[in-house]
Amino acid sequence: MDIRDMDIKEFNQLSPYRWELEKDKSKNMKAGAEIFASQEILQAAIDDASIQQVINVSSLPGIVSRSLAMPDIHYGYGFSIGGTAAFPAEDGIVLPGGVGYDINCGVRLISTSIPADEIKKFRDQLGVAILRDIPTGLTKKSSHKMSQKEFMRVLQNGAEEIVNNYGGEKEDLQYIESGGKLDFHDTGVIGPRAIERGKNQVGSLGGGNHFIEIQKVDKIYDPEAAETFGLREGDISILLHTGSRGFGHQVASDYIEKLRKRGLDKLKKFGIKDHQLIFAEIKSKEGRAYLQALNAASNFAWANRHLLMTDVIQIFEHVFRNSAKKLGMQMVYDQAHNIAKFETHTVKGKQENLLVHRKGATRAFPPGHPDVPAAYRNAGQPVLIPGSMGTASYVLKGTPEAMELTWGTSAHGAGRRMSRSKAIKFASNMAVRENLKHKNILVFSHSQKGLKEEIPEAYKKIDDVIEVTEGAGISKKVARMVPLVVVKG
Amino acid sequence: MKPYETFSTTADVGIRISGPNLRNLFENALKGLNILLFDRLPRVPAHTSIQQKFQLEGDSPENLLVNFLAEILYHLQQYGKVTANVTFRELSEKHLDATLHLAPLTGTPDHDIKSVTYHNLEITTGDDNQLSAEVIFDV
Repeated sequence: MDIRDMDIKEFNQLSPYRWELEKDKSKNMKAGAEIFASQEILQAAIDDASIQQVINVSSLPGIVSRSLAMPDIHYGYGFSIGGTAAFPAEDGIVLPGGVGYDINCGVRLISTSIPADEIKKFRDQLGVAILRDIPTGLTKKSSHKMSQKEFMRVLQNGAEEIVNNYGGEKEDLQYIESGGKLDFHDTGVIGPRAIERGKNQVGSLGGGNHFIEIQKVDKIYDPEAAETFGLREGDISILLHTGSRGFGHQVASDYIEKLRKRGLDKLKKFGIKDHQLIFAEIKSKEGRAYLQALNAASNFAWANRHLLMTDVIQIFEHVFRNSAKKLGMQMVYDQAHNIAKFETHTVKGKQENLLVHRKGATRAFPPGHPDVPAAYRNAGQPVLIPGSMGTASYVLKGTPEAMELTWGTSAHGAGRRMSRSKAIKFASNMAVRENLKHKNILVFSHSQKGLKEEIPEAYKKIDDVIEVTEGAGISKKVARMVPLVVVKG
Repeated sequence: MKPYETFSTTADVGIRISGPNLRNLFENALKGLNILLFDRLPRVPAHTSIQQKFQLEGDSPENLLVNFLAEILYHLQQYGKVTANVTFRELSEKHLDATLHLAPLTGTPDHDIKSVTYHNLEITTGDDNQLSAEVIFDV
């Protein structure tokens, strides 16, 4: 049966925004599946076949509880985008396809005390400077040149290496997921091509849907949490979206190749056809090597976002002729949305160590969790959900319900609903830049085609995704930001 | 079926390729990738191009195809070099020996193609004995 012909009635609706597909041997499922969605979003997931990907993940050996998908679900490869799955840390499996090629692609939010009114006369100058000074696009390398030794230290120390040698405050590190550094000590697991590609890219944005956005905090939903996070209505914030660049892509490619060598028979044994779901046992030599390489790429991405942040801050300081301190520029949070991490969760009443894979999904830990920065522990972990180009972004906070339902996971964005070619056709007569200017948004980009691919109509409505996210209880709204300047990678 | 054409999934892009044999299939894969990247086929006289020899061992033709396309992307991303053409000295189901004809990139690629995936990749033989495959790229 073509999955696109699936009837929505096959799902049990557990609540307005929770849909369950029971374990079904005829679909090769070893566990059930649960999709967090409105009816419209679920139907779209059937129509674009991403439901099949959620089902495929449920057929993986040792999957704990069920295969999950967040409200921004759409078709990817291997896992769907928005796909989440956990496996036992001791004797479970790890999958590069449950992370993605852009390892630790993620977002970073910076707050300021600059009132939005004050930025009007500087918007053009800021956009031009960011586009000029921050390397964007596929082939662009960083302006920060590193020796191999320095680069290996970045892989080991992540954001901390940037604080020690380039800029930023040590206090910033606590506001990065995992402190901006995961354990990486086995340098032999990284191939020479990955090092070659990554060495000159720390401090570069990349292309595709990566961006730097200057925003206005335009609505506060939770005044107490907003104050805790340093967000004030009417002030400027800066959102940055990028990942591990060529380094992460090469690491992912290298390990998919390595895992394929022994793993194809295992896939066949479990009736899994998609080679992007190739896996290794966590405790195997290949599994441990991939996990180390994953940590190195994660550290690269945190260092990358930290260095980009220092570069953007310098641009602000230059344009406003004032220090970052006087401008009130502070890290709010930095989080990954393509990653696999060891975490402790409750499984049938017992605390268990799991390897949680999040592909196009973000962590959303609740108040009181020890991994939430101390200053935020009363509120819960900030959850950053950017909208599509030209639409609002949201800050939410993690909840106990997320820990119970989704391994502490939430959505990561609006989620595409239109392919790139359809978006370009849709926007063929559209003056994208001018349309956004009418909405008071300035866009800076080297690629006109890239702008058309990223039009808001190509994405689900962010408000719909947020409604589901909050309605399902897996995160709660804190603030909304609207874009003023978008620099697209 | 066309020798090569491009398509999109919701989040990614891909090529559909066909050919009477592996050599032709791989040549069409290069063309399809170039159309994805540049919306046109690069034209570089053979005598002015930079020759880059390389060899691959694989466990299957699909494995070779993915790594062949990955090699092309590597030269683009790392060195800013476009692969205009390829000459095969040998191409079997598990071995490839070829020369890429490269030229400097001018302008910006249309897509930030990160990697080649194995998603749904299978080289099949149709009733007309044509080989065909779909390759999806991560964008």
